[in-house]
Amino acid sequence: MKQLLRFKQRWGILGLIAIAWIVALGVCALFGKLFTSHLNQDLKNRLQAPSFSHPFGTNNLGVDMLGLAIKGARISVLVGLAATAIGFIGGSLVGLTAAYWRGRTDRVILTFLDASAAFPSFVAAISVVLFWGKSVRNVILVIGVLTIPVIARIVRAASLPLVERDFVLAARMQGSRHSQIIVRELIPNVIRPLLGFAMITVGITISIEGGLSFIGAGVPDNIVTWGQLIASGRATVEGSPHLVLIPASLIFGTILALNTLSSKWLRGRPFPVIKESVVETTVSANASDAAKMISSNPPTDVVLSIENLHTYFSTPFGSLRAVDGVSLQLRRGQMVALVGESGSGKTMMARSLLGLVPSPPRVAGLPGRVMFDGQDLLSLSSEELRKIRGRRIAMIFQDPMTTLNPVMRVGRQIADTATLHLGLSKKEATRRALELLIEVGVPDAQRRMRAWPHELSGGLRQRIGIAIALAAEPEVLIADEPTSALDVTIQRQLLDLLDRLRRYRGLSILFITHDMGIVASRADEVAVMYSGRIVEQGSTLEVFAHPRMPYTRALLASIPRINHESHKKLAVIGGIPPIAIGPRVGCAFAPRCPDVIDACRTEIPQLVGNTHQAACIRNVVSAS
Amino acid sequence: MRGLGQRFLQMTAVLLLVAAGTFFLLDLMPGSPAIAILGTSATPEGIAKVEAELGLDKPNIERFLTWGTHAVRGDLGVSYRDGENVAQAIRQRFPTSFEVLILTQLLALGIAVPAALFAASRPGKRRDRALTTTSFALIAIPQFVMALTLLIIFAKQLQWFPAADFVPLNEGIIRNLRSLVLPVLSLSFPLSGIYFQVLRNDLVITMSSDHIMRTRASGFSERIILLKYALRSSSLTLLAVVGLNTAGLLGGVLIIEQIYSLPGLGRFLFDAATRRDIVKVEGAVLVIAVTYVTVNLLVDMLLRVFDPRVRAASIGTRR
Repeated sequence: MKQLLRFKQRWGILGLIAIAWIVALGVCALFGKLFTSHLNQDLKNRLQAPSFSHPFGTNNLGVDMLGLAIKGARISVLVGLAATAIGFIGGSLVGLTAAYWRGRTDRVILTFLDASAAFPSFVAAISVVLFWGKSVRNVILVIGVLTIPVIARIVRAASLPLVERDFVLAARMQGSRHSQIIVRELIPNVIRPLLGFAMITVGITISIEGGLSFIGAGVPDNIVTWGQLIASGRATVEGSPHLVLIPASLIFGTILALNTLSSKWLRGRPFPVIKESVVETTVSANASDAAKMISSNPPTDVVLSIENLHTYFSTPFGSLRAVDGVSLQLRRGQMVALVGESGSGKTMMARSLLGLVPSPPRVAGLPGRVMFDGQDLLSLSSEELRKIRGRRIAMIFQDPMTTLNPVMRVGRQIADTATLHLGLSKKEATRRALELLIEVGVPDAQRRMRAWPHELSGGLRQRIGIAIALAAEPEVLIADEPTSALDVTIQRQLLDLLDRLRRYRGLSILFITHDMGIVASRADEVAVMYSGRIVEQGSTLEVFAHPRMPYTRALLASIPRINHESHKKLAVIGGIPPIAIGPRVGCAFAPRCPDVIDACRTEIPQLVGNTHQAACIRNVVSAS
Repeated sequence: MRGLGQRFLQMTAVLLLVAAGTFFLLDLMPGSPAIAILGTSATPEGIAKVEAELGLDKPNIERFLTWGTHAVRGDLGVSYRDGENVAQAIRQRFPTSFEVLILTQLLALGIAVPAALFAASRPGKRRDRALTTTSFALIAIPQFVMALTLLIIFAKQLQWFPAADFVPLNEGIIRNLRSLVLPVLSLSFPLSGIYFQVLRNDLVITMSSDHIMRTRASGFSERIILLKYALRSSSLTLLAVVGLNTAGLLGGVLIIEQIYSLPGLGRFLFDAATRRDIVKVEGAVLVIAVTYVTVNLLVDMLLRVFDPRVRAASIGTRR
């Protein structure tokens, strides 16, 4: 029963109808002969409209249309399947060849594909069938061959990106045979979308057969197909439209069913599915703790105050606790580093602040506030939030290659943001963009204004990203791993730049990183995040000098140090961060913790301490 | 512009392939055009005489080259069958087919682009699901079924539009457009379904891309993001698909032309092919292929304007 439900969830109502249709069609095609042996002419009952004894009516010779429709399914389906098979075998060979060998082979094949597209192939099909003689075989061959170039194009496009991927390159380096690489590495990776497309093609070829028969160049007149039925019903279409409409809707329904199945099949269901906002009533474990925190008066120079922030996503397996009660304060001109491994929830936290979480901001009904300038960002309308995004709180992102718009010159991208928020004229905005480029240290700024993102190096692109963020003179900058994709020298230059901006512009920076090493000399405060929660927090000096939480110690131990003897092994934290689904039990780090005690697995540690806080039971135990 | 030079070379190759392919395909078909002219009772001498007159006794490569050199100068030859000047005959047909092509593409895009923008603004929501399902249905209706249905409803029953009398453009634009409404609708409905899906899928992918998130973080409204930032970088596949449909719409809409009695290239081609009129077939196929490569050249140039990366890739400056 449960399986049945899951099946329904996977395919949906429409999908189930489509499956039923295809199954029925298959039965008709295979066993239709059993019901249709008695199809007789009955000239007295010609052209009858659908009735109880003839649900689909009768044709101009008085033959039952239901029987004909069932009979016609056989050849229509046969043509669809056989022509698709020819098209796919031929098309895959051609497409894979082009994608795999590329270069000249690819160009030659592309020229042929182009030539075939330049050719009115439907007319060609008609002529060929008429020359060779009308027969099921010829119709299949012609439609199949005409499908080859279409499939070849798709196979080529689907495999081209794969060919450059590492696993294929690696296979090539190892000297695997070409045929082996194609069969083992390429085909398994393109087969899924192709099968989806094959389903659609079956439908299309059935419809093409209909077209051919309609024009009188399809199967011979004594063979029944749906197209044939439409063609013969055409003469009496005004008096008895059902003779055309019934077989037409059969073709329509079949294509629709195949398309629906194909799209459901292609969509699949990768984990985790982020569903639309579902009201969650989860109460966080430390809600009372949070209430305390909210009530305490924040000091006046606090610019951004995150209070007990929660971001959950509902998945089929339960709520995923991406951010699970985080509190953090950012003061004017201060730089706070938020450190954690990938998957610790730090990026989700940063995005939650500005409502940039994929699909609706956060599961509703959870506690938490993000106070900025006297208002709670989480309670603002999207319109109000937009006036803060970019204008007062700006962000820079990890990968400047993908976060710049590839089809816009970089100068314009900066100017657009300035225009949006500051209402500058085009000329003023351009001027401002140029100033910003100079400020963020882009050499030859005048010329670079007109550069495209792909023409710039990673470091320069990130400087552009910073310039865009600064365009409207924000007060807060959220930097999400801005230097992680860059090499060490560029990293240092960019950090220096951010440092300068902070000093001269009074910018407050929330700096998110996985690298303890780069925050050491620059951040005023450090917050360490693990599995959606902050596990240690304090001034950089204190945290570095006296880490209290084993996880922080492990992170610190993984920084390479210049005074270590060379070849000394770097410390590695074993295991991976847990997936935060289901109720929280004990300390999330316990499974990986070197100093774990029994209590760690059952008690949820709270942040304790004044200026330097840590969430570790062992601290409490040892303190008491 | 090395990219463009290469493109021209490829265009020429495509035209050559199409012309040669058609020529030799028809030439290999059994039976001589002379028999078709003289009838089945022709004597061998008579056939030889006619073949000599038409130059059919020469090797086929030589005939193809002669035809080709004439074609380059705009002379598509004279039909063996009825002595008609092929270039002139095509000139009479081409405007109708071309008009149908342009109107169909415009209408299909006019339906698909706004619909895709609307659907992609809330992916997965009701509007998106409804439009996607509709597009599936539109694609699933075979063209001839659509044409017949529209004909029955709007021409026969309601009599809003003429059933089957085409009015050429030079006899009044209003009447001309009126006579094209139904054929163009039948052609563009299924196309708009395809265009919708192509654009909608690319838009949804773009809208969840990092650079759009960056734009969101800069405070731009969803409307501006969709129209100004996402549409442009999402329209590349759509443009390519639009270009690919040229030849089919120009010379492959035989059924529509038949149902609505349009004097277009599809029927011309079909009649010529079934009557083994090689010269006419060859001429029509060439004209269609030339239009195809021209349209696709335009599409290519548009792609370059839209996406600087395409430009960079073809010039070879990509890192």
